[in-house]
Amino acid sequence: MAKKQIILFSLIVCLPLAMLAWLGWRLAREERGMVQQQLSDLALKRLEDADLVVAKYFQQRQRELLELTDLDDFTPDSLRQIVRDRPEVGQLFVLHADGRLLHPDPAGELNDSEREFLLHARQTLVDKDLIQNGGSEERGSPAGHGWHVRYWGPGLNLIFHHRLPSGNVVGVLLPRSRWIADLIAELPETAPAINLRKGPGSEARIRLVNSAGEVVYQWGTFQPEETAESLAAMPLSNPLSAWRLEYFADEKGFASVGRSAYWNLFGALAAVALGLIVVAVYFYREYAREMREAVQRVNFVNQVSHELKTPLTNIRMYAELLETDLEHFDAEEAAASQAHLQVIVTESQRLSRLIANVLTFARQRRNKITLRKTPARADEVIAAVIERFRPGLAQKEIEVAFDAGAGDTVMLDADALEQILGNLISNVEKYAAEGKHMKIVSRQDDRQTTIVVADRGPGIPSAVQKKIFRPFYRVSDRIEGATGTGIGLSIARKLARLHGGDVVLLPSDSGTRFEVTLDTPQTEHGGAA
Amino acid sequence: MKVLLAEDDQFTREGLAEILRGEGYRVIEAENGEAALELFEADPPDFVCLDIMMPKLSGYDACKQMRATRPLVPIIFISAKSEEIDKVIGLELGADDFIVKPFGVKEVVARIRAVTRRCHAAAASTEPKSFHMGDLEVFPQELRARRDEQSIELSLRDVKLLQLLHGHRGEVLDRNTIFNHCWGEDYFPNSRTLDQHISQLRKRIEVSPKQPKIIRTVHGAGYRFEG
Repeated sequence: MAKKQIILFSLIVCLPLAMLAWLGWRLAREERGMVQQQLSDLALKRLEDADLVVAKYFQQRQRELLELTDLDDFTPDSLRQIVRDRPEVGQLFVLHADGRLLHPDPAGELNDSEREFLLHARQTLVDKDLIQNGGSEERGSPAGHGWHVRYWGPGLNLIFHHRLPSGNVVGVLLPRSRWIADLIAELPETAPAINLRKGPGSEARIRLVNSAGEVVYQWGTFQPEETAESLAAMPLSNPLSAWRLEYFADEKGFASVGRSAYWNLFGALAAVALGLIVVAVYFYREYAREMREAVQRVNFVNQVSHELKTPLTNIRMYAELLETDLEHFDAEEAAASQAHLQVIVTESQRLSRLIANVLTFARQRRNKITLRKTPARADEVIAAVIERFRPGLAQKEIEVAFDAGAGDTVMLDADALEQILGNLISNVEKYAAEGKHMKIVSRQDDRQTTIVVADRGPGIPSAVQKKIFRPFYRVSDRIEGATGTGIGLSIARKLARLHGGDVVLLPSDSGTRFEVTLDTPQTEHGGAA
Repeated sequence: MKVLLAEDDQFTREGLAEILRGEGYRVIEAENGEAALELFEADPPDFVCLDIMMPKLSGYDACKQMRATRPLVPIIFISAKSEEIDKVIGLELGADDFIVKPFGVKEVVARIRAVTRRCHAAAASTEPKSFHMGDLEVFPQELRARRDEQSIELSLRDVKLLQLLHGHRGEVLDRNTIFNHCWGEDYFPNSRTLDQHISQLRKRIEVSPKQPKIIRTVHGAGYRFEG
């Protein structure tokens, strides 16, 4: 299989495949991107649900604390009694409207809990004047109450304040273990799985992570690896905005959802590829069969032509030898035999030209014609060809005139010139005999030899002049009795072009004039004979 | 001159041999490549005509082996294979020429004469380059004669004949002497062969063939060049 055909067939198969693969890959990538986005959105939704639970819990606590802190008795005993009675209160504190800390009074008697509270919270709560000025860290919350986050001990501490109409501020420190336990109790035990379309669901886990990055609580059956990255994450609402929620899911479960697009693509591509290959193989087999048959036909013609050559050689050679023998006899007694022999010689020459044309045409089809230029004189070749045709031309009473002007020794493929002229003169013999005249003029310059073959026959109609050099085209179909294969002029032109020249039909008022030009460089020793 | 002719087709071989003999060469015939090689060794020829497609040993292989022992012997390929590549192979193997079947007698004669001229040129003979017979100048090594500006092609036999007559200027040469010199001693000619040959030669070299000045007939004795 020629390289060109391999490339062609590869292109037929590979190019559409590559385009489909590229389009498919883009589609699959977009599909996968969409799936990822849907997953993230769903995971975020799950986290928002969890955050809502937390927010509700703190709203509930806020309502309770607003009631609890609506006090008018600020005596230490009553306040300590509240702390003792209400486990959801870790410590109570009261700030006077003027900013003084009424309870726990740093100058008074303090229990351990009060002392520890003052130690950690006084700096930020009292001295920083946050609460006493009615400020709140919680944006958007009413100035009269709010949540505050302070860090001491094992971590985050939540403080709620309530400014009373009197201007006094009552605050509550929530016991950490209590509110965390309450919060956990509020949160669900199972994490809802994600379902994408009709794809399989996935086990999930949601983690509540504190500001130190420690997992406070987690729920759901999925156990992510330590290094696993969350599918989605979001901070909790106030007051726990320093904490965050993370959603983990078994990506293997829904990776297949995105991957299915790739599988679909792969399947489609495989099917298309298979189809293309089948089509390509079919066409290649058809093409190969036709090529094989064409080669067989050409080989057959070649073989037959070669086989014809040996008997033809013998017929021609012995006829010519006999002709020479007859020259020794008296002209009168040999005349009839000479004429008969001349027919054999002329016909064998005609057959030789036909075989040469068929073989040249076959070689031309295979692009195997190469010319070999050797030192030769164009006029000698022309004279020899005319000599060979003379008996046939004489029989048809065609007068021959040769105006020789190409006598220099030049680089020339004599066989090619013989074949070109043979075809042109043969045409004169076949189609222009009625003109009774053929003239050949040869001229030469440093680079080129020009030969004009002119006859006085019927000429070639202008309508078909452009077609006459096409293989198998015959003007002569309309000329009664004329024979020919229709490849002579095509071969003549091909050979002339390979010789760096051309064969053209010259404009002519009557008859036909063909001009042969050949690139004939001078020999190394100069051209003059 | 001796020519080894190797061609498997009997008729082609015999026809070619006849042409070569007619030109004045001694021909050794072989019907295949192997026989050609044996004859080449046993009776070294002056040049060789080789068919390419031959049984036992192809013309290409025979050519290679011949070139191995005698690199300069001229070799002409004669074949039905006309593909250019065949020509190229033949010429690369050192063939001096390539005659493609079907060929005409004149073409073969012209090519063989050209090779003979090259053989003569390569031999650098001590013979004089030309001699005169009346107004005709004969160039034996070129197988040519010239009268004024007219060039006349001669065969090897023509040249031998003219050389013999020129060398025996004024003498009558009988038929046997001429035959022995120009055809070889083993040739048994019929009575008309010499007359016909002289007649043909006269047509080419005499100004008036019916009143010859160069080769004169001495009735009942033979031929003579007056000088």
